[in-house]
Amino acid sequence: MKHEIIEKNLGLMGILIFLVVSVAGLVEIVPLFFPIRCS
Amino acid sequence: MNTLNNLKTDIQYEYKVIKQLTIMAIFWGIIGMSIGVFVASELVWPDLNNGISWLSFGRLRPLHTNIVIFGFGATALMATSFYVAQRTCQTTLAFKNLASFVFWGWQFVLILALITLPLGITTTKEYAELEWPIALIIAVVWISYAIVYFGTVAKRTVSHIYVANWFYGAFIITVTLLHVVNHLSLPVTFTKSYSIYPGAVDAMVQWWYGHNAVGFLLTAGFLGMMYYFVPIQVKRPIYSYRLSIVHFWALIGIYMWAGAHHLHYSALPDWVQSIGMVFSLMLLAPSWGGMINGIMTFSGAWHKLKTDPISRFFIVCLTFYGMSTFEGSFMAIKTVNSLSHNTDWTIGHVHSGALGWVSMISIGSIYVLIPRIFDKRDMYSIKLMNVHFWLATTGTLLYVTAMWISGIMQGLMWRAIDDDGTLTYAFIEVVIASHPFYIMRLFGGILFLFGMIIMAYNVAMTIKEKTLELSKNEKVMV
Repeated sequence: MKHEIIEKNLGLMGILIFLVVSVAGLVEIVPLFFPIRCS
Repeated sequence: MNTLNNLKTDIQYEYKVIKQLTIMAIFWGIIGMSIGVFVASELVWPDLNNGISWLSFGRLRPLHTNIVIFGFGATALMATSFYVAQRTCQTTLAFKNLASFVFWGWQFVLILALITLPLGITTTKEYAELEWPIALIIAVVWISYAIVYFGTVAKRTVSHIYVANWFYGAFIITVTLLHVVNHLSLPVTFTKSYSIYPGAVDAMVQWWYGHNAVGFLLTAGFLGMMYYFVPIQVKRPIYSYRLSIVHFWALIGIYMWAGAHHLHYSALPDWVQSIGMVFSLMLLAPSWGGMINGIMTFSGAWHKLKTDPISRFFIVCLTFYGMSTFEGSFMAIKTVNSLSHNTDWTIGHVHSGALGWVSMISIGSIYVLIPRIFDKRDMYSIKLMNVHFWLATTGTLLYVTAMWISGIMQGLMWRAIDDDGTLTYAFIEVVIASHPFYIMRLFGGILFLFGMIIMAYNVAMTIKEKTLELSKNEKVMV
């Protein structure tokens, strides 16, 4: 895998950055909208 | 290095907006830090606000954070990013009128912050206090900033995007995402809105934002600054290209997970707290990757530290970056956090990052930038830069050590229990014990602020001084 491909392509780099920074929010926040009922 | 040798000299770089932004960064730095000194004084003399609610600690503290982060920090990032994008992409700034709008729009936002926060108009979400009409203006200005920045990188005349731009780019994209998601709210009146997220979800969204709009902005963006201005000043190439790739992707990926460590032992589900803690620990590796890459860039140029105050600023800021990221990972461990949470230790940690890393990298970069954008040979006074360096370093050290001592002391005194199970200390006893350290912290803050004022004088004299001006032939060389 060559990093050069990303380094030469602004659009690709932007999309990859967006995907990489989005993961955490999806994993940590989205499940909180579906709480397990304890009572 | 190959690209550096083939620099084009016929490009007409756009410096006007950079000049404006750089000068306003210094201005907001002084304003923000003055407010900081004032609120630190309020902790030493609690009646200092004299009953005036506009001057109360609770209202001015968020004003301090907003002005230093978004006034000083973000303005410095905008200025340097526009400069770095033009120079590394070998092209002029895209959309010059929009760039001018970014400058004026951002100043307008900061003035609105200066008015609304003392009036008590606030969303109450930390670092996202500005109410919805201002949040909307921020979104418009920020997206314009992104268009100018990426527009400039898109029309580059070199094939590769330089590493500093990866960091600036990631910082701009991420702040847009965080700001929009965290600010989703229902307006009730013109000056009051409520978050659309309920309870613990709101807390998690807020700290996903809070940790990254600040932690990420103050890290990723400023690493972009570091990756341009450190090699330029020490005249050495970046130590490791491979390291910069690995730590870039690891840093932006892992950073976003760490926000949950602000919510240890809260109503947030335990599994999220644990993820937050584990990722905070992992974050140490890419953080130190950046520090190592910066410090090792000095290889072969260490002698500069003997004579050049700017190099001193850079090496000290990288050291503080390493120290505060280690401390941050450490404090995110649940058991450590049970001691440090709600104490001054947190304030100390933040300021070792904010004064030691963020301010010093900005100060060093501005000292490199000013002569270049104003066509001057050098700064007006090297001696004053040195005075500034020592004021900033001793100020930061005094501030941070005062908060370490008082923070750990507070944590230990709050949890101390007698044999019969009752608390050993009343709360007021802890406050009284903290008082000497508040005085020490105030003193450190004053030193740092004084350094900034000296910088403003030095910059003003550099711009004014005719003898420093470059001749036409020399201009081509810069």
